[in-house]
Amino acid sequence: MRIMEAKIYGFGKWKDQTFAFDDKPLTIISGKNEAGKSTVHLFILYVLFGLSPKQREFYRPKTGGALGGLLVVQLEGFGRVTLERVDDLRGGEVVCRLSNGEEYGEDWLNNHLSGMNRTVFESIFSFTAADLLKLRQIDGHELGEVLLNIGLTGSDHIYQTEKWLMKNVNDRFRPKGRKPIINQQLHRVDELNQERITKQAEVIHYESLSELKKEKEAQIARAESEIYSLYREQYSYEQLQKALPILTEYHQYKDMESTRVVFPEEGRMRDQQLKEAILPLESEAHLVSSQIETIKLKRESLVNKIAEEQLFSRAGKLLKQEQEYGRAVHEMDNLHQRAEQLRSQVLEELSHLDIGLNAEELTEFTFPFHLEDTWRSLQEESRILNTEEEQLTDQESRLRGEKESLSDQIHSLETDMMDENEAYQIQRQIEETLHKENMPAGHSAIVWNHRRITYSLLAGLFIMIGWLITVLTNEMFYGILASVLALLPIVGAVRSHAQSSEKPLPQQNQPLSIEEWKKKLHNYEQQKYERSNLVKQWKAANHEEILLDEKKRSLIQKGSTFEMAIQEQERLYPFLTKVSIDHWDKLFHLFTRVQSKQMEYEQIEKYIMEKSAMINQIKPLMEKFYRDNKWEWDEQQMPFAFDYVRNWFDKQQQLRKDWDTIDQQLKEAKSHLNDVSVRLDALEKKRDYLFSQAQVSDEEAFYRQLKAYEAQLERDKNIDRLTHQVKGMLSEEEQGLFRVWEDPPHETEVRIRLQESNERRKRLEEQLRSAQQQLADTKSDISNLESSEEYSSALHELESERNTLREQAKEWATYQVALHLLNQTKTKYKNTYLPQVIDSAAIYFNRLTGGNYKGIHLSKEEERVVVEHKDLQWFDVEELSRGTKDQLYVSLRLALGKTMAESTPLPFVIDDAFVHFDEERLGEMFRILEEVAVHHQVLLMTWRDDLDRYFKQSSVQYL
Amino acid sequence: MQESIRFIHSADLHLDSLFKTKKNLPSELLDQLRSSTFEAFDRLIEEAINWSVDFVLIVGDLYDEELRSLQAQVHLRHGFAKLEEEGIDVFLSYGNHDYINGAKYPIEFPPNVHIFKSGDIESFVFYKNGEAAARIYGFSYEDKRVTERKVEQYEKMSGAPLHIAMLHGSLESNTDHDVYAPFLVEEMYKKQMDYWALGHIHKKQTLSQDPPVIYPGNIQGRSRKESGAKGCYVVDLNQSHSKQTFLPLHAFVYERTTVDCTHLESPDELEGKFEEAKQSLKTDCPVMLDLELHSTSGLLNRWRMSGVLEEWIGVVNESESFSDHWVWIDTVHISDRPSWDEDELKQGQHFTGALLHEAEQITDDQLQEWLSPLMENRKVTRYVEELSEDEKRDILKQAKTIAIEKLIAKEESST
Repeated sequence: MRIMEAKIYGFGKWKDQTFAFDDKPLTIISGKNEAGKSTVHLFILYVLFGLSPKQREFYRPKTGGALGGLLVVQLEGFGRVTLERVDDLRGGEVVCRLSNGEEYGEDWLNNHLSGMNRTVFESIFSFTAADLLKLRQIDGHELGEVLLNIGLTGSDHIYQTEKWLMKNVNDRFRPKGRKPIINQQLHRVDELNQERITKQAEVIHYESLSELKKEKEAQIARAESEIYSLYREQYSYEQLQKALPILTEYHQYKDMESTRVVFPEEGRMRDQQLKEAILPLESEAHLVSSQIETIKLKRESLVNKIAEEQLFSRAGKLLKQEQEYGRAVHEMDNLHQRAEQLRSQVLEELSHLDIGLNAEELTEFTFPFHLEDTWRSLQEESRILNTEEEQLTDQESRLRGEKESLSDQIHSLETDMMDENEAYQIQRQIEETLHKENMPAGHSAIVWNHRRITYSLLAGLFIMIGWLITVLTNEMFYGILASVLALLPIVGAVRSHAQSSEKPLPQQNQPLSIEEWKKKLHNYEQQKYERSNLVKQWKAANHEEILLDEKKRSLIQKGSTFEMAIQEQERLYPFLTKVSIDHWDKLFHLFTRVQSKQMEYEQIEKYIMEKSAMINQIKPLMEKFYRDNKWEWDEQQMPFAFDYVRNWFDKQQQLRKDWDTIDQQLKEAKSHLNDVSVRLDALEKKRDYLFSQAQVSDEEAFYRQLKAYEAQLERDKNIDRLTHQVKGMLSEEEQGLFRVWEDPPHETEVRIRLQESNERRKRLEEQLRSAQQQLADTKSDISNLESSEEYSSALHELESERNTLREQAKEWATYQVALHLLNQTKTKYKNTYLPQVIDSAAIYFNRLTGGNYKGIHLSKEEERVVVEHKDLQWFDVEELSRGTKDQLYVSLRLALGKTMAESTPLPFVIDDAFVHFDEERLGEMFRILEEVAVHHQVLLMTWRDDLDRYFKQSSVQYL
Repeated sequence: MQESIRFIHSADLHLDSLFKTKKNLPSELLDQLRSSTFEAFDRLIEEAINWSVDFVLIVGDLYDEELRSLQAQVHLRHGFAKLEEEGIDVFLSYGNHDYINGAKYPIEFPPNVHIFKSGDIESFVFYKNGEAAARIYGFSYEDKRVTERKVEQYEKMSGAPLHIAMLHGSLESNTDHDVYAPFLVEEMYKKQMDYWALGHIHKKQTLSQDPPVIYPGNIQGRSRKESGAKGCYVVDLNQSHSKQTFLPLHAFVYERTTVDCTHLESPDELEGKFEEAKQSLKTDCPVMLDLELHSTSGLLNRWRMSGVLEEWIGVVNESESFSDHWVWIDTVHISDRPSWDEDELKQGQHFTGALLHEAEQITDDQLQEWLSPLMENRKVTRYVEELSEDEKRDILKQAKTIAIEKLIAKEESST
């Protein structure tokens, strides 16, 4: 790029001013100070890169008008291009107008400035006197470094940046440092973390505090209950203390009794009562005993008067027989009379009967009650048998007659009748003749036949019934009656038959007319019928006869049975043989009458025998009694003997009654005595029991015991009272605990114990207070912890500071990375461009120093530039003179510009940079510039107006 | 029959949570940050009482990581005790941040608190007026990671008209966060629950309206990534209808805003812009502000480089009183034209170009080596986690920027 023309519309002091730069490579703009050289320089920069608003404001024309202008540049490949930038137009953007009329903006321009911005451009292609001035402010070691950087970029920016970055890095963190921010922050975070850990420990302590709280609560509960029981114990001891005198008295009483006195309940009274009961009983017993003695004497006197018991009882027996004896004597007379009377009657009647029996035999027969009936029925049966026998004989004869009559009739009929064969012939003839005339014949015969059967059946029935009843009743009468009744139908039948067979058929053998035949036949039939009837009748009669025979046989049977019965009676009563059976009936009565009289007689005889036997029995008894009683016996006195005996007996009886009375009295008295002694015994036993209860044997001892007992009762009462008092003061538990009834503690001991208990309680109360305080503290600690925000705050603070640390670390990281990036780039850049730049710079430096310095090198550390003197000695940059430093700087700048321009051909803008060069150096400088300008446009601004003489090809603009 | 229940659905309390702060915050602000999670929880309790809810659900992450601080536990106990006085039950489960096996100094909660203590799905029946009103299902993390598809294990049981499932986990597709107990909304539909109370994701969102499948988000924002109002849902639920009302609980919010700084010429003008940004906020509570400054002049970058930007931020922040509706400028982002064009610079052979080329070739190992003096310092490693790749990249970029800025920033110094 080559700037051809600068047309300023308004910029700083310039207004509507045009600067034309001709084709010559070097363009010099010459003017005094404040002539506006720098303004032109800045104007060019303004058009190429723009300006900050502040600077724009600074360069706005004071006389008004637009800020801006244009540059006409020769651009490779495009020819002339106009770059116009006016502040008020298009937002201050540049307008690039090509020769073909195309217009482009900022981007196009940037592209053709090869990524150059103002800063870079200034550092590479533009340098001013100020740069050199700045260089002079750099001292010592740094200069070499700065110059190295200038060699790299044309400015000290790298160096400054590096320093700045380094400072930022180091200000923030140094591994061993203390002051850098991060080191400090780390320290702070560490501290906060420690604080957090402490606080956390407190929180962890919370758990142990909770445990402690529970423990303390339990401890307090324990202590409280213990104190309570100690209070109780103390009270117990106090009560015991009060009870001790009573207990002492109690035990005194207790000690007094060695053995318990035994005494019955209410002993005294019970003894008195017994005594009162015993005394009258004893006197009564005495009285009754004397009575008994008296009675015994009385009884003795009676004993001699009383006869022997055996005699007395015999007298009694005799007296009982007295009446019997009298009656027997009297009855004997009557009996004798009656016997005589009966004897005569029997003998008379026997003679009357004349059955060959004497009186004594009469009673040999016994007559059972049914004998009379037997005899009567035998008598009756004999009569019936006789009657039946007669009837049968009658019937037999009658039947025999009837049979004979019937046989006769039959016989006569047979003789009169034609024979059967003939009748058959006739019959056939009639039938043949009267073939048609079939007269009913035999009708009546059939009727008859029927009737006859009826009658005979009826008769048979009667007979059967009759005999059946007979057999059943054993009465002949029914059989006979039945037979008679049976005859009635037979008679009826015969009679009716007789009526119907009045006209028998005539027997005719001759051939006769039909009527005659018929008549003959008819007769024959009638006869035949009649004959059969008769035969039937005969047969009936024959049958009857057979029946009769049967009856006869049964009658004979009966007769023999009867005869056996008669014989039986006669065997039993043989006298019956002397009397017909027809009188048996009468005989029975007579015989029984005389028999009974005989029996009466015999009976009376027996009585008489008995009575006399009895009389004879009594008499010896009496006699013996008399003799035993030593009385004089005379049989004649027998009738009076009984009276005498009775008299004696009565006396004896009276005596015995008296004895019984006395004996009774004696018994009563004895029993009374017995009663009394029993009662006495009982009372004595009671008293003995009473004494035994009191464990004594006599009354004296009993009363001694009573006295001792009463004393014991008094003691017991006292003990009871004392016991009651103690029980009122001490609970049952306390009584047991202190063994008050067995072995009460001593007063001193109680006092000591009381004191101990009291002290223990006080100690415990102290402990309780302490535990309560601890609990309160713990609770407060817990509450504090729970409500405390310290841990949380510490955490948050720590977190906040950690965040800060992190932010700081990131900042540090940014600077650190930037620094390293810079260094790394620098290293590479050095390797790429620096040798070339340094080589070029060395040539320029050599020329500018008039050959004094032949080379430029990098130090061993390659961090700075060193120069080689012509005598081969190396110098650090700071060792050089100011002029030489300037020359070195300019050499480096030119070399860099030249190197860079190979890829980015932009014009050099040098503003009064060589102010301090001497003529020689200046000439050489300009020669170098001219050489450079061959390839790159160089705009040199200077206050000098004599420079054209140095240049062969240059145009000068004088401002 | 249509018995309604009302409950609060909350999750991710992260009580006593530590904040990722910038450096050198004043202690008042730190206090405010520290107490914010507690304040938010206190508001949760107040709201539960004000709304007379039947019960409160807390779906995991009650505590924040190691910081299951005693204070957090005591605070919870205190809050739950208040609910107990009002007869309000609490059903809670633990999540990946407060998994059961990581528990320290356990404090007992009052009896109205029902805790899902198992890694398996369990259920509680909630009784209202003596009758079973709802069955509540849930589980807790036993360890830090749960990668099973827990949703599959939920089985609706009998014994209550309403069924509410608590699940601390994330959508299978959501890879912005650690994917724990992954699920698909379709899987939840199949389970026939009346309400899915989710936790784990800190941004409130409704995955489904019928049945409701809802993340209430956390109750207090803790970084600029958790911006906006934070709180819980109060839910009125019966068998046919559900209504959710969002209740903000946060003590302060993270907000983001942008101001235009194009025409600024001097750094002292920044103060006015910051004030302007603070005034533009439409919240009635304290704000941690994430501010974006927009410009095209390139000055902002330069001011930042020079530290003047930070200074002005400090000045403005220092004027805050922290009494009530304070606004703290937490972070400032700059969107500005750079003062130099990297691509342009890279074209030349000059040093800056070479530096840019060099920067591109820096390897991770090299970077690590450069950083090692500090980053591998024993103490530093104790307190500062290793830098992430992103951070390293960022550092490199920053380093390049400051180097070049410094190398070419001649104009400022020359005038």
